[in-house]
Amino acid sequence: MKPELRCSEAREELSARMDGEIDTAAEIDLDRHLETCEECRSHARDLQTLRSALRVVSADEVPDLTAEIMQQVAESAPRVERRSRRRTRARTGLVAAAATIALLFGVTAPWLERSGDVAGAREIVGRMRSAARTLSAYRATYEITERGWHPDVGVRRFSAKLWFEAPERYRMELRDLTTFPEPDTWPRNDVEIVARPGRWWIQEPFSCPVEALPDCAIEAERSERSLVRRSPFDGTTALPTDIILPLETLSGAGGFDVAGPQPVAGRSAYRVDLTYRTARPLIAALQAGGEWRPFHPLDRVRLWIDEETWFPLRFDVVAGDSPERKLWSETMGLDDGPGDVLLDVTAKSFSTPDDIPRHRFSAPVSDSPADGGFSPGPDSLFGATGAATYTAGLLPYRAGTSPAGTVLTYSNGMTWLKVVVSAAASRPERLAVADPSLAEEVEIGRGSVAYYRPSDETLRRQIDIFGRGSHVHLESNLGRAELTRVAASTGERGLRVELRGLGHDGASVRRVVGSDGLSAFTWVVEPALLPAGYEPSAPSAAVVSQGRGSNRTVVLYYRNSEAEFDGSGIRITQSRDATLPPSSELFVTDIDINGVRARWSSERGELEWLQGGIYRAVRAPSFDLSVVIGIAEGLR
Amino acid sequence: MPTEGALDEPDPQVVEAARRGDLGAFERLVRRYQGDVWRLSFHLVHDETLADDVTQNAFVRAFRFLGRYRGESKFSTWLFTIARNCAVDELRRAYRQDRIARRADSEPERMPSDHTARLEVREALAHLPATLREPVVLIDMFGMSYREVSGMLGVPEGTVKSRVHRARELLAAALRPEPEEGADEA
Repeated sequence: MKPELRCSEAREELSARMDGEIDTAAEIDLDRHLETCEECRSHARDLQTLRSALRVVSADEVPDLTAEIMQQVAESAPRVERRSRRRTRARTGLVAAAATIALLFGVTAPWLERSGDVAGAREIVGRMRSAARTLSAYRATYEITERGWHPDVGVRRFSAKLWFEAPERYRMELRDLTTFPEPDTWPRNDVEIVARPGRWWIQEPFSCPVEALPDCAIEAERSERSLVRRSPFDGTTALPTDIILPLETLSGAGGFDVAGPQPVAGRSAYRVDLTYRTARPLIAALQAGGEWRPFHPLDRVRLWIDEETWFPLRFDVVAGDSPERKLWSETMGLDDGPGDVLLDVTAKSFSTPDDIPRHRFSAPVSDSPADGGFSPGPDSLFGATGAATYTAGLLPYRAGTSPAGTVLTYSNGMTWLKVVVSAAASRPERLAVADPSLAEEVEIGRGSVAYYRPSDETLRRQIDIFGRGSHVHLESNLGRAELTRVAASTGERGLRVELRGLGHDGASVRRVVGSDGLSAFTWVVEPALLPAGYEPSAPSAAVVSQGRGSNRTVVLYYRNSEAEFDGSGIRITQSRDATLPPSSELFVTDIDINGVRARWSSERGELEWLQGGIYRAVRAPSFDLSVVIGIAEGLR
Repeated sequence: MPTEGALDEPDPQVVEAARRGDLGAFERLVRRYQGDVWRLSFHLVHDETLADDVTQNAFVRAFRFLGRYRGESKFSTWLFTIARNCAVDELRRAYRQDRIARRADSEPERMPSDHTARLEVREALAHLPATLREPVVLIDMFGMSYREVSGMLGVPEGTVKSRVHRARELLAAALRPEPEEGADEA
C-alpha cells in the first residue's frame, strides 16, 4: 500500500486538480488525504478564492492600442512602399495641401488636368445612341487575358463568343483556356449565359473562394440558375450589352479624353480613356458570371472604339498608381504594380447579321428556376392610365402584369423604356425612393415633382412619380433629358415626399430645392470645383436637419447626372456650433486645408475640419485623397 | 480541462489572410488579442508604459513572423510566446525585478473584488519571482494548459505543475488576512 500523501504533496495535487491536470490515481490519494486534513481543506478554499481574485485582476480595463499597433505594423510591413508610409506619418507634421499632393502623389490631381474632350465625348455618345437604336443583331468573338487572379496562376486566358438580337436575346459563351499548374485542382472559369424574352439562364463554376485555392476541400462543380416569367429588361438578370455598344459606360463618364483615330487590328479606332468606376458596365459584360479578379475604382480603362461602327475593338484595365490604390492591393492580397495591364479584351471578329438562328437563344430551365412573376398581357394595356404619350421614338414592345404593377415596355434596337403603373406607394416605399443621398427631386411640369436616380450597377436611369392614389415608375437606358420628357408626358401629377422620419432622435429633416434655397444659410459654402461629371453649382440634393438639442446641419449631395455605378457620389456636410467627433479609424492623417488642420480618414474616404465654429466634411469614397483635397480647398 | 477563462481561437481564414499580408485581417487579430497580450505583458513587466511597448512590439513581430506560423500550436499560444519573449527583452533592457518580497504592511481586508483588493493581488503577483509569476498568470488568467505553458516557457510539464503550485502558495500566503494584533497577544 502506498504511503499517505504529505501535506506539501497534497497541495501540489490540489493545485493541479484545480487546473484539470491531475491523473486519476493521484486524485484518489488526494481525496483520501483531504478527508482527514482540515488544514489542506482550508487551503483548497484559499486556492479557489485566489483564482477568483486573479480573474478579477485579469478583467481589469486595458488600453486600446489597436491604432498604434496597426500604424507600426503598416510602417514595418516590407511590402508597403515608402510613399504610403509617409502618409501614415503625416499625423505628426502638418503638410500644406498642395505640397501634400506633390509629395504624396507625385501627380496632378485628376481634375486639375482638363476634364476630357467634352465636345468630342458628347459627339461620340450621341453617335453611339443613334447606333444603338438601329442595331438589330450582333455577333462577335473575343480573346481575353487576365492577370493577378491568384498568386499561383499568373495569367488566365479565355475566348468568348457572343450573339445578340435586339432587344432581349443574348448568349455569351466564355471558355477558360488557362494552363493551370495542376489542371485538376483549379476550377475552370467556363461561363454560359442565355437570355430571351421571358427567360434567363446561367451556368458557371462553383468552387471555394479564390484565396482558399488550390488546397480547398470542395471539389469544383458547375452551378446552374435560371429565371422563368422574366419581366422585360429585368435589372437583376440584366443583359450586359455594353460590350456591344458601351452606351452606359460612355454616357456616365461625363467628359473623357478621346484620341485618334488610330489603327487597331487593321481598323481605324478612337481611343477613350476612362476609369474603372465609370467603365464598370463594360467590364461587367464579362464578369456577369464566374470568378474574376477585383479592380480598383480608379484603375484606368482604355477603350478603342471602331470609327465606322462604334463597336469596341479592344479594351484593357491598367492598375492605378495612387497610394490608396497600393494600400487597397495590399489589403486585397494582390501583387499589382502601377501601370500593370490587369485585363485585356480584344475583339477577334464581329459582324451585324440580319438575324440569328433562334436555337442560339434556347435557354434551358434548371431544376428549381426562380419566378420573375411576369404575365404577358394584350397590347390594349399600352392605353392604360399613366402610360407615356411621348416615348422618345421607341415602339411598344412587351406589356403585361407583375407583382409590381402593369408593365409597359418600348424599344428600338438596343434602346428601351419601361413604365410600371401601380397603386399608391406606402410611405416607407416613397421615402426609400426619395432618399436624398440617392435621388434628386426634379420638376416634370407645373407643380409636379418626380424623383430621379442615375444608373447604378444593376438598374438604369429611373424616375418615380408619386401621384394621389397612383405610382408611376420609369426605367430606361435613354439619357436623363429624354427620360424626363417621357415622365412629363405621363400626365401624372407628382407629389413631393416629405423627409419627416428620416432624421435620428426626432431631428427635423427637409430638402432644400436647388442652390438658391441655400442662400438663407449664410454659413454654408459650396464647392468651386468638382471632378468631371459633377456639377458644382447644382447639388442633386441639399438637406437641412435640426434635432432637439442637436446642431443645425446642411448636407449637400452631388451625384453624376447619368450614372453612378458605385452608388456613392460626393457628400459635403456642414454643421454649426459643432465639434470634431472622435475618429474611429486607424489611418488618420492631418492635412492643411486653406490654413486649417483637417483630418483624413482613408477607409471612409472623408476629410473633416473645423473652421470658425463650423464643422465641414467632404466624403467621396470612390476618389483619391488628391481629389477630396481639391474639393475641400474649393469650399469658400 | 481548463476551459474557464480560456482564450478562444481566431477563425483560421482570418489568420490565413493575415499571413498573406492582409492588413485588415491582421487588424481583426489585433483587436481580438491586444487586450490579452497587454494583460499578460503587464503582469510580466509590472509597468503600464512598458506593457504598452511590449504589446506593440509583440504585434509588430507577430506580423513579421506570421508567415512562419504553421498552425501547429494554437494561435493564442504562439502569440503569447512572442509577447513573452518581447517582455523578457524589455525587462532585460529596462530592469529585472526578480526578488521575493513579502508584503510588509497592508490593510487586513477580505479578498477579493473591491479596488483595494485588486491592487493587492497585483502587488502580490508583482512580487513573485518571474519564474513563478509567468505560469500562474498564463494558467489562471488565460486558462492555458500545462502542456501549452511548458511549450511556451521551455520547461517540462512537471516543472510547470510545481511552479504554479509554489506560486499559489506564496500568493495565498501574501493575500491571507493578517491576524488581528490582539489575537497574537491573546
